[in-house]
Amino acid sequence: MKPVILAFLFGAIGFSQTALNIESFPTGAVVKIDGREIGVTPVDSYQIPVGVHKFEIVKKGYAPVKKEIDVQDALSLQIQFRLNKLYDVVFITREKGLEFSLDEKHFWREPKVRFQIEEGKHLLQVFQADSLIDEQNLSIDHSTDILYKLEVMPEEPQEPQKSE
Amino acid sequence: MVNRWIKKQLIFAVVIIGHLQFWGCSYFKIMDYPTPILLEAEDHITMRYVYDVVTVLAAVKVIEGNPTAYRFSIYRRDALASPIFEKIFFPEDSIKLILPTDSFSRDYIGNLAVLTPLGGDFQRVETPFSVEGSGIVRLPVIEVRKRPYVLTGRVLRKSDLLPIEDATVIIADSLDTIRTSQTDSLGFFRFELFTDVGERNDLKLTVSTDGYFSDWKSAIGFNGQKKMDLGIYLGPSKELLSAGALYRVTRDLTPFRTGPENGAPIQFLLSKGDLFVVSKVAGDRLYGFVEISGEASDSTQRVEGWVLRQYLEILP
Repeated sequence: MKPVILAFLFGAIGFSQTALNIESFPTGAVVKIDGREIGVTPVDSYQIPVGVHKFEIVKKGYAPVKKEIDVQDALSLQIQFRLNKLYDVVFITREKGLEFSLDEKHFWREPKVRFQIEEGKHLLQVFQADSLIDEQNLSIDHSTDILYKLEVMPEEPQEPQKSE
Repeated sequence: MVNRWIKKQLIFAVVIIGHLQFWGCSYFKIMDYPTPILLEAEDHITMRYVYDVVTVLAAVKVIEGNPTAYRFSIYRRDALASPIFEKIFFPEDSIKLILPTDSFSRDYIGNLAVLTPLGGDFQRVETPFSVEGSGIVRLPVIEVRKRPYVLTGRVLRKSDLLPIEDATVIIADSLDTIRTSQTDSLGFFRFELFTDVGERNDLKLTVSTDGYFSDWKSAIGFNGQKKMDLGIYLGPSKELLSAGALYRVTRDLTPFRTGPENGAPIQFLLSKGDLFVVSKVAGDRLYGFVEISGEASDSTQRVEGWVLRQYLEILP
């Protein structure tokens, strides 16, 4: 009997729980914790053991949010997720022999590419023969087509050499 | 004319079909990027913990002085390096703070409230307290006083400078005892005297050893200083102990005369326990000397004279 009681006590100490309240903007996002779906936002008073958990908030048309959170021992934890929209963007260029990169993570060479892209600011970089030749900040706030054209900078006039 | 037009159209169609046959629909094909392009920013997640809370209430009573403000700090006693809470309060403010229960130590008197009055020479007040769980903790009334006068000292045996333990140290005025203390195993004593006592100039300090040595008495005064340290030496000196036949006075107010004859002038009166070194005997009268200690020092002076035999007992 004693080991059972001890096990119960240790279990109670080891698995103290915190009440989770999860909100998202907009509401109606699916909440997954450690890969298990627990409901749709807003989530009220979901008891979760103290410790590290993987959170995933998913809503169609919005950028999913994945976050690892170390849940502390507390009365409750309120988490608010603000979901950014995903927009359809078509990237078009007539330039030849260029490689493009978005946010230094996504690369392509094709002249026409369609993306789903999270609203906000993204960094577009253009490479030619592995050399960076252009860099632009794209501010995405609606679905659109982006036509990329490489602007050739006029050469700076050379200063005439002074004769001694 | 019509035939030529048809021929041109046919050639155009053949070229277009041939082109499409060779290139496919690549002109019209758009590649879909396989994954959404996400920002992976952290700024769209906010978290707020709600803990059980403890409300700490403190009342301050100003006994002397006019502090301009108080710095109120809460520490865990197992982590005194940095406070878990610190704020400046003004005298008219009520000190109330609400902190998460987890901030506090659950040990018995495991937490410390420290009130530091600002704007003068005030004493910092430390109040240990316990937190057992959420709820209200009312601290005892915190009294604000000026920094006290501190009297410390050490009581030693004059002959070999060993500490005298459990000697009674008394601060008194002409009417009453004000404070009493005992020396520790190293002979130390300490008094903290608030302004109303520390600034007086009619105080007397007495050190007694239940008659083992003669009492030590002296007037004390801080003379504007906040601290005073005394060295007090009791009993006979080493020289006295080796000077000759040693007697102890057995009665208070024993006359110490300049001559052996009746009616000879009395130099002063000896107290019970005083030591007397005898060098000459004349009937029931003994001639010798006593040691008089200087105040608060180990300096001594020898005074010679006569004492009746009946007031003395020989020391083994």
